[in-house]
Amino acid sequence: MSAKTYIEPQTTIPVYDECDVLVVGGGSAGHSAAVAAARAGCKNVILMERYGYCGGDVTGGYVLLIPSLSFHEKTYVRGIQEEWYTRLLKIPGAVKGPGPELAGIQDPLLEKYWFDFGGATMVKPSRINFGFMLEPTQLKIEMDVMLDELSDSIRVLYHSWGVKPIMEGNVCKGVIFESKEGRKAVLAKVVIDATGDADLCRLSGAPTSSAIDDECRCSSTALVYRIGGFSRSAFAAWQAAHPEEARLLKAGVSKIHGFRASLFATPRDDVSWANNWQPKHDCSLIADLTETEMHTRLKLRAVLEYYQTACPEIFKDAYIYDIAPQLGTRGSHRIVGEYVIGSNDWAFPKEHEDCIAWHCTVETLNDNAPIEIPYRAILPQKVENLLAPGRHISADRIAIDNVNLIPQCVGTGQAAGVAAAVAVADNASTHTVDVAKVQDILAAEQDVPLPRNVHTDASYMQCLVDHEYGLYTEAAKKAREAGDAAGTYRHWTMSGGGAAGKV
Amino acid sequence: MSKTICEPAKQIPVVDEADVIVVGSGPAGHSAALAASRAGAKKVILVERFNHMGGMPTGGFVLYVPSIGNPMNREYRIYGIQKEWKDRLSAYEHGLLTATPEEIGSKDPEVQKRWKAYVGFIAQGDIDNCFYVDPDMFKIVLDQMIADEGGRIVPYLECWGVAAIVEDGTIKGVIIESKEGRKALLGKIVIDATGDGDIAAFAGCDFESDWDPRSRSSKIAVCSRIGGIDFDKFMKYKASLDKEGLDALNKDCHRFNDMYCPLPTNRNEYAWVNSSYAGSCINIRDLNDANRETRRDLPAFIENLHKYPGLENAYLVDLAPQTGTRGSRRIKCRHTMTEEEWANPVHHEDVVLVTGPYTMKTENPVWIPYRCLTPLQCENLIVAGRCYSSTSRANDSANVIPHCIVLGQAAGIAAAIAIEDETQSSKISISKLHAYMRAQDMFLPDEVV
Repeated sequence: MSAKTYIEPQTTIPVYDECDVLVVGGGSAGHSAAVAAARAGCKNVILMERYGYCGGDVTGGYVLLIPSLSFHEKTYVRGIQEEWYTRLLKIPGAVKGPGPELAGIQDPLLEKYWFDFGGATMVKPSRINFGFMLEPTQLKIEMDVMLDELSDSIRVLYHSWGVKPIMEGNVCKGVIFESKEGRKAVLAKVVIDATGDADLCRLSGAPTSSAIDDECRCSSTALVYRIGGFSRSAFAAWQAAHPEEARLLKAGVSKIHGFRASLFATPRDDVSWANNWQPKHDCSLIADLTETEMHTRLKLRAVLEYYQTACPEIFKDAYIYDIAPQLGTRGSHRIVGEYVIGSNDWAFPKEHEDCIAWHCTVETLNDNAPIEIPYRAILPQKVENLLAPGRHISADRIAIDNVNLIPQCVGTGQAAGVAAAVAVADNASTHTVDVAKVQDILAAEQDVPLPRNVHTDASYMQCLVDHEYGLYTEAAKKAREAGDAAGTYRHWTMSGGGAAGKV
Repeated sequence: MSKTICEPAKQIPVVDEADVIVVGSGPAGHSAALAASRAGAKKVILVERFNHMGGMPTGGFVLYVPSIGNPMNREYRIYGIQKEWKDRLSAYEHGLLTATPEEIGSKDPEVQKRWKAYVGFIAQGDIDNCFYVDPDMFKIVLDQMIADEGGRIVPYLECWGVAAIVEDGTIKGVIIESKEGRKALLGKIVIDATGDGDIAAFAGCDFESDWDPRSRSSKIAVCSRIGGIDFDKFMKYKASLDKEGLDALNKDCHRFNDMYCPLPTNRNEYAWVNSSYAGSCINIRDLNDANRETRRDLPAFIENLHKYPGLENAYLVDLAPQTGTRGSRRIKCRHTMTEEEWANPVHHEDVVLVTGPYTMKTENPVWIPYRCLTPLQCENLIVAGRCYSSTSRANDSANVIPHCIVLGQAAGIAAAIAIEDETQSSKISISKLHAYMRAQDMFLPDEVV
């Protein structure tokens, strides 16, 4: 790497637009933030998105699994995440999974059906877990429908790459973006960094971290592809009847790729998506993302031929359905916020007065019981009027793997949107905003259950208490005996895989 | 809005340097990078905004690649990199849809009947050597072509070329935005294959971007694919319609925000939905509106198709991740193609592309010269692709994929020659350009020495 630099002279940047709340990034977090801000009463929202559609990793990266939304019989992840499900249910082939009405059900036949479909993220050893697989193109359309419904409040800027925050001292005043019309600016009262990699926060003076180790899920990248022309249900039956061959097939495919790959279901029986984990690749480094994308594509023909030759009874007519037009990311830079989520947040569940998302996660230490995600985990230190919900949430290197999946991006995005709207309405900053007001709006008006909130039914807390906060697991007992869970338990590692969520 | 903010001077890290930098890996840029490498450039940086190469045919779902080949000769041979595309895709089952070698050029009524309803296959009374690509197999092929250059081409994916570094009227490199932030790439020769001449425009080169609103190139599109269909069955139905019936069918599609009657793809169970949306691909508002409106209107459009034979179970497979473009800026270079020249073609000494209007075969095609690619105001910058110097009407006649491949390939060779001979890009030896073009199987008329 050269130590050369180029001095780019001072320039005058045209201001393209101004607003109250500017959301940069239209993925799970950003789209949710814009929608939530508008629904919370902000009539001047701009949603800025690098590509031509919303959804990010889900619609562009084809990460189609929404896992672990319930704990026993209660669904804790509701709000906009559940709204995706209920909206897509109306469209044939757009979504499939065990719905909230099945949460906690113990029925061997239903469990087998949903395990064959969605694996361990939909079926715990003893009960069904609300989760679903998506059809990305329908979600792209539905996300626009949601924005259209709020067209009096939200202006969308597609094909606009937000690249730099405009800072006046430590206060964020807007964002500079690149476009086909050149470099421009949008000014705003509150900016929500929903870029996933803390792109804006990194340039704002707020502390960020990219500390990781090789066992972290976040240390890997992916390029998802979909395979068509074979029956997923027939494949599941074959796998059950031939477990050793199934294991060898998976190993054979992974060997060709050079890293682990695994087929997952979609709502269509004749299309599956292939998740993969390229180790030691950083989704925020040009060389790593280029290599992930080209390397995966270069191996695809060989992978397909292997499926066709090694298991012709299932795959003889299989073909490459498509290749994701966006990189599959898991995590890179994240903020070091006013609160850093850590492993102990599961083993020693905390009550956060500023809880803005009460989420089940894929972490099995507490049997996927919900934890309280505080507002301070999306609040960068040292800067004002900049929030950071989503993949780059404030968490240590072990906790981040459990708390930056799609549902948490949606949930923290939704909360950030409401917080931004309230801050603007009350002329407060992101550090002085009335969080209790934010919580009341989320719980009363946006269908987000929150602990100890008057608008949330007591049954949510009761369920958690009745089931010991999920701390009956062996892993939880060990961690609590040790007095510290940090680093003692990881339900999933790059080298070992795991029993639960493998996203 | 006339408000501005001041962005202070900033120090941009230089992350790489190369002989040749190509910005954009669509048909022009990808071809330019290959051509430069094969003509001897030792290191070519290929910058691409998206996560895949190919531009329109991969990300834009512009799946139809017509042939221009030798426009005077009706043998329908295709040349250069376009031939390579076809050969490589043919190696895969379902890699492309094309007529057989026996069918190409055929006037046999039975053969013509088979292809009649497949748009683009019958050109001027005989079967064209065109093909429809599988966009995802094509992504793989394009990556493979880069990999086969043995490391001489260094791809930078997900990097957006956003500005030029110019000193004393000569380009020195480009600036990119990326997940690593704003970076600089230094290069001796820069090829602007952004389609819209972004680098040239941002470098301060003059351009035109006017369009007759009735012209093909003044429209953009967000394409999509439908599946669950029997396209052959639909084609048979379409072939059975008389002119009135065909007009009614097209009208029944166009009433949904100007969507087209479904077009072929490489698989019988899929079709490609193109459209004609009035808007500019270099206007943020238009880009937004095209995407929003297409997604809004597609469900009803597809529902409406269910009444047609073969399309009863049509469902939406996917939406193009890139917005479809046809024409935008034309950078002012040392020669400009005009409608006058189309009426009376001039045989330029420095010809690089010979073509009839669009893809027509003609006795008297235009000769587009290398000077259409070298901007007046910036040395060592070569524009490749549809942004070559031309009036809007002249450009509208020759700006589709085959033209971009040829211009890109020529630009790449020119860049390599400029490096080899240590000359400026506007001063390269044309006889050397032609010799290298021939060596790379590009078409040149016999009268060119």
